Amino acid sequence: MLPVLPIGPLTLPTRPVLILLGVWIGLTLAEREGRRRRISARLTTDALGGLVIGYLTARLAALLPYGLSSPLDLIYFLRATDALLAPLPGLLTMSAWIIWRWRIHRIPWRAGLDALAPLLLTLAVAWGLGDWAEGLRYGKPTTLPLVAALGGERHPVPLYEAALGSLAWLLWGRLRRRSWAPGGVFLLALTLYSAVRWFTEGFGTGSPILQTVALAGMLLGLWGLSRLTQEGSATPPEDSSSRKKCFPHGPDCRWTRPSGPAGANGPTEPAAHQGLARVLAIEQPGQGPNAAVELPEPLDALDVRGQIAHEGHIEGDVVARLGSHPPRVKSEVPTGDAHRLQIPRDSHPRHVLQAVTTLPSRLPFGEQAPMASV
Amino acid sequence: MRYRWIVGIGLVAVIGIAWIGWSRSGTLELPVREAPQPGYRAPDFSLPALGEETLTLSQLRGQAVVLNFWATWCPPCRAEMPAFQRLYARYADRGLTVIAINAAFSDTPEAVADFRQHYGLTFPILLDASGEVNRSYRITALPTTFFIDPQGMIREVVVGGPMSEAAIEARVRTLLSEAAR
Repeated sequence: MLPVLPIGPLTLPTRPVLILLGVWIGLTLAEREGRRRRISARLTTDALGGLVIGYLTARLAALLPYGLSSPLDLIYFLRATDALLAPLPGLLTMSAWIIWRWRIHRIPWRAGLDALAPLLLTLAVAWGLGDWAEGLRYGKPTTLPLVAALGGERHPVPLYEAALGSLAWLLWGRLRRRSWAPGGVFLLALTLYSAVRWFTEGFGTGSPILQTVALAGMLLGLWGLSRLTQEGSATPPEDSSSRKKCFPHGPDCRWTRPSGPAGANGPTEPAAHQGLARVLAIEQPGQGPNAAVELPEPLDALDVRGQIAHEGHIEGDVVARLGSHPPRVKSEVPTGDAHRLQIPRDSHPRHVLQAVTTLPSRLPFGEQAPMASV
Repeated sequence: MRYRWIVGIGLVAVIGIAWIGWSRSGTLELPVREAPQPGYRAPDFSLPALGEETLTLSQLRGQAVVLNFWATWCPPCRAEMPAFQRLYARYADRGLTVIAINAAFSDTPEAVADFRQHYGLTFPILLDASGEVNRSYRITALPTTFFIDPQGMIREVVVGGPMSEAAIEARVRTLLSEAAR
């Protein structure tokens, strides 16, 4: 327990300092994730605004029912060293704020949540450490040697939370490298965080409500991941007017209509991008599978995901990474038909198209796809 | 694939409910050791009160106690003291006791007496001239406030201030409502 940090003449409250540090690190990582996903830099300012608004609401909701004894109380309400919060109003207001701001700034919500995933996990660790330093949420009595070595007789629940939260962070860091549909990375973080809370709250002395909510969060996360996985393998819709199929994972699908057959007059008309590249799979009877990619400008390191279709059936996934030169197949993912490509950061879209359109020859179906031109 | 997910989620649900049930089973007996932190019994002490008899904490068992460590030279302590007085006046008949422990080793009895008169404080003000009680409660910053339930267990510690009246009242009401049950 270290509720305050004496630094020279200053005495800093440990818990708020740790939580603020967590917010700062989490937002920095979220900003980096956002840049990778080509999301507006407003992502983090909006998230920070949501955190501040959520905190203010949680404080006011906890204290306003007891009334103001003087106008100064409004200032005292906001003392960061006081842990009295009403979490539900705070969470609702924060969510409403972020949804509203993201709509204004046209931030795709699934990709935005993915970018915020490291903030959630970092805050979980910082919050746990802060509560432990403050001496909050001590749990059931125990004779565990480790706890005794720390000078306690009761489970230090927040310390468990911070330690397991760090492990969840590392696990998330590894699993997020897989090719997830938009929203998948956030759901993964939600599942891991909920699992940590569900487990650690079992050593606490509070009501089981929080533990039950954590279990619900874990099941919700798993259910969402299963839905996303199934979405990725579902039969695509068909546009009868153009015989084109759009098979990207998730909501970033955008229909484009070529002026002629792909490979002849160009594959697609570039559409206004929203920060993510989209792979369009184009089926042309008699010509085998062909694929084109719709690119944002300028090219940067990012993943493009899509599926190759043939005769109306999905034959394989394409995962292309823009970021190196020359275009080459970096590795073949052993499960499924996914391939990973490395495509130059400063390349002309033609390179990307070539790289993607040569994929079918590596897939165990169909014939060599015709090269698309730009 | 879908079947696997359904089985997996169902398994997690079953294990999840089992862990919640198991972790909540049995009676909870908290340790009665004295320590200045939430969940432990508040360390007992006896101190002379300003102009009154000596007061012992354990004599107040059965009442909700707000224990505030303060000094006259500490601005946030001065700022929150009127709130303590108002709440003491409001809830004393429902079983609330406010005790202010002055850091008398760094203060003077005259300053404390003037302070009490100026703010019209009616709750006991104890003088910790040797600093022994401050040490046993591991006070590292002023003000620090302990919320102690009628069984003498520390429920919450708030380091720093000033606390708003509403923040104190929220905790006092929780203590009193639990005492009434």
